[in-house]
Amino acid sequence: MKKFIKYLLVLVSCTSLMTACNLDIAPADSLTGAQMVASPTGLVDILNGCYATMKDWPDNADSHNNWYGRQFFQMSDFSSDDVVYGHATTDELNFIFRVHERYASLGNVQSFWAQSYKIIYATNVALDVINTDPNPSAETKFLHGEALFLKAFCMHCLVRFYAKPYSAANASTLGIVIRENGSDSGVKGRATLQETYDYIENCLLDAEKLMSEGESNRASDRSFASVGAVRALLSRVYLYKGDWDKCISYCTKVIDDDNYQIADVKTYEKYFTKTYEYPETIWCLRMLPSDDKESAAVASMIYKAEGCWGEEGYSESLLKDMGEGSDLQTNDVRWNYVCPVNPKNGLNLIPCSKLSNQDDKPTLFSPAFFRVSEMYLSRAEAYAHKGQTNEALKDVNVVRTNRMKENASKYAYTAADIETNIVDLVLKEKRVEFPFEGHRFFDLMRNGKDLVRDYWGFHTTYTAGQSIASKPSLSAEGIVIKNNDPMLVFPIPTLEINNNPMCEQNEGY
Amino acid sequence: MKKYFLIIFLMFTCLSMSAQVHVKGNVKAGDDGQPMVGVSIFEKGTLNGVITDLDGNYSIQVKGSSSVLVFSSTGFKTKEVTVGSQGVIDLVLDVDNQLLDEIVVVGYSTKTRGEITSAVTTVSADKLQDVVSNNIGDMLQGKVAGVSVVKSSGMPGEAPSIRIRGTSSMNASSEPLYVVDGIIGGSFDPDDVENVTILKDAGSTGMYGAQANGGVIVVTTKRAKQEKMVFNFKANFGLSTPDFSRQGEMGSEMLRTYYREYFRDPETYLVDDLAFNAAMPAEMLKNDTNWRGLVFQNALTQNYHFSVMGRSDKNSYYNSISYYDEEGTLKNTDFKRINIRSNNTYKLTKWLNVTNNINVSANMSNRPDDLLVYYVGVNIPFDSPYDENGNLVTFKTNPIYGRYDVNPLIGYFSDNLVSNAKGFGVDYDLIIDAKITPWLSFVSQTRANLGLNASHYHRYADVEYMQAGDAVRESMAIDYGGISTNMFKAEGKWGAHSLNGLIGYEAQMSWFEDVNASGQGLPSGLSVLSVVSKNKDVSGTKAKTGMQSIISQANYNFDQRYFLTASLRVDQSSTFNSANRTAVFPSVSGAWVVSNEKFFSSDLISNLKLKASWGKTGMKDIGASKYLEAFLYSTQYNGNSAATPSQMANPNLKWEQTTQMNVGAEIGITDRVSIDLNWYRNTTDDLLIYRDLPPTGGFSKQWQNFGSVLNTGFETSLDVTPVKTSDFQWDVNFSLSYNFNKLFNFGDAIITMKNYSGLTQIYRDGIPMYTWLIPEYAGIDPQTGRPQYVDEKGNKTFSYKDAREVEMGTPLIPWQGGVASYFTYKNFKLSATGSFVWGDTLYGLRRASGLHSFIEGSMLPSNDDVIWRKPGDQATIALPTYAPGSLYHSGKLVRGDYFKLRNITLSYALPKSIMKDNSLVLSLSCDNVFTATTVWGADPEVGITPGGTIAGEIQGLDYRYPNKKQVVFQVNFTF
Repeated sequence: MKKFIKYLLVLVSCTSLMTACNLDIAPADSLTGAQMVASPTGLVDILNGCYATMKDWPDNADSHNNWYGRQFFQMSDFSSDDVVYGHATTDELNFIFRVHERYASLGNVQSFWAQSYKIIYATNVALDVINTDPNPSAETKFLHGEALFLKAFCMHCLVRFYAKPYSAANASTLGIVIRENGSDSGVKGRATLQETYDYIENCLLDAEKLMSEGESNRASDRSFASVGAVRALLSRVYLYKGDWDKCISYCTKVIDDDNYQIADVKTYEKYFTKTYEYPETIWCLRMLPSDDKESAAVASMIYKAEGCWGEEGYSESLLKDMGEGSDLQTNDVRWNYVCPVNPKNGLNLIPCSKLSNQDDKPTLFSPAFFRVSEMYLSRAEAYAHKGQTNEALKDVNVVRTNRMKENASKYAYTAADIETNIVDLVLKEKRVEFPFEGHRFFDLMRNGKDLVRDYWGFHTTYTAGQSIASKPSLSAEGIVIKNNDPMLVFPIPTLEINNNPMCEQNEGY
Repeated sequence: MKKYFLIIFLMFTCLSMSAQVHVKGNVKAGDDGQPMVGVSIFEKGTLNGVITDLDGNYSIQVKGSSSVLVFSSTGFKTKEVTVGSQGVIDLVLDVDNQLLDEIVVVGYSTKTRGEITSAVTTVSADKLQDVVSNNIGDMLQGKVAGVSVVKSSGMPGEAPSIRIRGTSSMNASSEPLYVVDGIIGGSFDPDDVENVTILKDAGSTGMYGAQANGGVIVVTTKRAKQEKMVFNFKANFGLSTPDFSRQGEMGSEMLRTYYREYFRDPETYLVDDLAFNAAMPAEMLKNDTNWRGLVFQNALTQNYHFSVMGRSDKNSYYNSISYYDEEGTLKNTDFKRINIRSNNTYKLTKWLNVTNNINVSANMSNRPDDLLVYYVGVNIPFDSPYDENGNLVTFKTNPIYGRYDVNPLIGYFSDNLVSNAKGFGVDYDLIIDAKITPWLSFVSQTRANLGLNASHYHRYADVEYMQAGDAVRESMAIDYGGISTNMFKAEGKWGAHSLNGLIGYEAQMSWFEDVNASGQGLPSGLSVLSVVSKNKDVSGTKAKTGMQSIISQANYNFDQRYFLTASLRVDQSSTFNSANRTAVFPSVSGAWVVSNEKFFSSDLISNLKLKASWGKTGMKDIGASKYLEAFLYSTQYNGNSAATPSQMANPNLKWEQTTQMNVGAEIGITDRVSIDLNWYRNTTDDLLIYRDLPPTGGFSKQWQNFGSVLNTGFETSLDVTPVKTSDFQWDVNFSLSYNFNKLFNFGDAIITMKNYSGLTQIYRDGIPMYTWLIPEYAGIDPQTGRPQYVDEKGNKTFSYKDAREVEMGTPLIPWQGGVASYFTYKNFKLSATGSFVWGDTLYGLRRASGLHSFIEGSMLPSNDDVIWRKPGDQATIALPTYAPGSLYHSGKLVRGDYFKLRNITLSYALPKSIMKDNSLVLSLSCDNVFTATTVWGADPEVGITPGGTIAGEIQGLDYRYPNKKQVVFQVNFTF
């Protein structure tokens, strides 16, 4: 008995030793805020995380169809007159095409909003850390600029989708919610469009200065932000604001930068499979093979290949602008991405291979958010708006002659080619150069043009059995949508409205 | 220590001061003849009593020779002996077989049925094992009041989800806690189960504190009952067929006439037959492929179980091995499992027992490829997977009518797509039970567990698929952990008073680690990771959780009439930060056995017991460290480390706690009827909600404690034996339960949860959890054939976005119940069990009706569906122009009512005259015999776990493995 009691006592004391078991358990795959600040690479890692957020599925993603890059291209291009909607799907992309059926709780519209602000929050966390550094190093300065650029880029994308286009008349209408720093996360209303654009411009001007002074070993990597990217975004912001002179000035700065060189016809043939390597690219979102989104990739919607839905394609009006039926079809390298017809639901879909085939994967593509050709065409548009037709034609022709396989000069535009006005000519060339790259919809909106989709597809009340012999009536649902139609501005997501009572909803929702 | 014992003995001595006659003796057990420890001996009509020591000896002073001594011990028949002139009374107590069956394991302790003070239901093995399955959930379906078991898939090896007394948590788990052989967690083979006890109210679950919000399922595995070595061999052979419920498919001819509707002009309402015949020529009818028929099959299930048990003076053993092999009704799927159990108890000394249980299991399975299942579901009969010669054709280059250029049979009928999983698990339990004194014992229960899981997937490039190229993926995971409970248990009996209790400390810790890798570029015929040539990718993580607790419980009983149980548990968990880590879970319960009162005498009422309980339980299963601010490193950008803000700090995050109340009555009428009634009211406060935030702040969601939910209802079960003769007996069991669920403490807050395409459920004050929030549908306009909705003003509109959102029903089940009938005639037994669900509202996601998908699927519309063809038609199917498929609306909500005849079993035991001491039972049973439901489309028995999607969606069979019907032949031989 005695022995046993001793034995018991040992057991009991063992038990009480276990009472000290440590229940503070840190996650194995994350660092806390304090640990991030202390980490020597914390700042860079957060900024890398901003790019990663653009290419990754969101945490707790309820759908593999929601991720930043996909929604960026779908919300812009599928809203435009460049794309045919070839199969009525249960995917919410349905409501990007069917403009008048949009509603505020759409998951895709909400996902883009939330992911954008997640990036903005991360840049704010980085900026909060940088701002406590009294003597920032050259590298810190560069990272400071990078954070400001990423913030400005996301804010500009948001304001393009969720607010009216910038104009003097719209300046005091609603812009977006501006988040100043990492602790600015409570209930807050929307700034005006003017305030939003001013804020973006200021971020970028600071970024330009900081990145010029700063240094980084990744300054020359096209997968990351650079001073060139800052200037390219500034030129785009000025173009959207209609500040033609500043737009021209910033386009010129980029064009004159030795880091960049417009792709010639030979380069263009393979450019889209390796955007990150060519000097055409100012900044691209680098997707590695492991980042391939497969059937949830943008390409999957518009390309007909293994792993692709291939249910969308080039619109008739876009093909017409590209010179369908003329020798451009063989001579213009941009026709290389026009695929053979794919009959579906009674429609003759023309798939597009432009956003495909990086690393031989049909759905892999590193989208170039800025490339030099845009600088030429932005400058051309700015000149055109200023009435400087010759300068405008000259810039348009730089792009155009670099796209022809033979006799390039034969295809250069002259004043005689202007059908309506020089601005329309520039926009036509931009449409041909940039389909499926997220420009067309905004170009129409900010130039006050209506959305005209006078071709068959599920954007209108088409059914698979319907005859497509004649063009749809212009008065039919979804064919012509006026530029000032409030449904062309995306709704502020319900999630924001419900949880942020100060945030106003857009008209029409 | 010794002094302490001395004091206790003195106390006993004091009690017997006035006694005049000294009696001593020894008590032995009737079954094994061993001395019995802890037998209570008291003088009738007094408070004077003692208990036997480790050698079964006792000694007591009584008033005189007329005194009567009452000897009692749990599980044995009570004996009364008049002292007379005997100075020594040696006694053998007989086993009370009736009572022995009624011993109920309620977690850390055992009680007899009579001592139970809370809502507890025990199901014995013979009631469970009419169903052949590898999990206990299937066997419990429809058998216990207040327990819903839902299985929405017939995939081999798939376990159902279980809810006890409704759903109390929005985002944290609501699954019950399993306790195997007294220790939390653990695994077991259903064939090794002696019985299962369901603890439903806090009176019993309170002992499990923070883990018990979902109720507790206590599983006890088999032990030897007699000294003789007994062998048992059981074999099952089952044949199963898929149960497509009411989701039929159209053949070519019928589908083509449906597709003709697409050629109806939306203005003239006439069909353009010219265009129709051009697009869909009659020659397309040359194929009439039954896609479903090509991939489903009748499948075989085999199950063998062999066990041996017996016991001696020094030890008791139970050893078993079982093999379960289920072929899937979907071709190329299966599940195989082997399980070995060894339960051994050693009586090392008179006062020390050591129990040593080991369970080892290993399984292998071939899993379905979800995408291939989907392609089969959406392919249409006009397309044939074969060419004229019967060879599989590629759809990549041969134009087809269907939506996907994928011939899924290429993946099914080759080794070119393989998806399998393997699992291995070991549980080792060590239980030391030391009787320090006759009234005090020390019990230490420890379990170590290890689990290994691996899965493999590969697909060669020639498999047609919606992903490019080939792929190989492997994942390996290891989980291990331990739990140790060390407690002192004491018991004492003074006359009619008896008191027992325990106090202890429990610690548990578990670890999880995994590695996942994938790659592409497989050489022909090879499929391991090393051979991939490109796109290599790896991931892996580690996680750890821990908890420590103090447990205590006291049970008091006066004269088998009044019972009182109180428990207190203190838990600390790694889920919360140090300030909110500790929670206290008290509980108290009591019962009054009216029928044991002297004043109560009735020949009719054999048992009447009233019981009540109150207590608290908790929930914390939301994953570790959800209170921390976190930057997640699980991604990269361009090959560089990258961190994304993944979690916003919430230092106030704390336990979700449920306060439970239960009032019940047990009524026995003669030996023919027994009734168990319970009413309960559970309120869960500080719900752990993964709550929406304004996304502009950087985060869309955060774990918060917010709001409360009430679950209240009643459960009745009625067991009747209408006929009982020497040859024939008929038993019937009914159970019926009702649960009412309501959210409160939400203030003005409105929370919505939606799936990826916008199907929404709303949470606010005053409505049940998971209430649908859905645009209101107003049928098809007879004039135009367009779907109509109701707008904010209550007017009909064609515009979907103007439709008002209405709250309409919930998938939570209010009414459910079961009925079972057992006939026994001589050596024959016939049983039938059924269960029903009534009053829930489900979303018929893939409900038939609707022509929205021109080239996708061929689901047969319901008998009630009418196609709109001309103005004036009262229809349910709109003109295709106006019916895009993605719209959620209230017209697709359906009542989820069903009755299922779960099982019919006929068995025959060979007569004793042939078998002598052995027994051989042959039986034939049929599972999932019949379903009566108003739901069209797939089985209305659907998941109630929100997971990544929304609770209560009836997924179509293109997204779901169908349930199965099964006929099983069983041989059960005991020798």
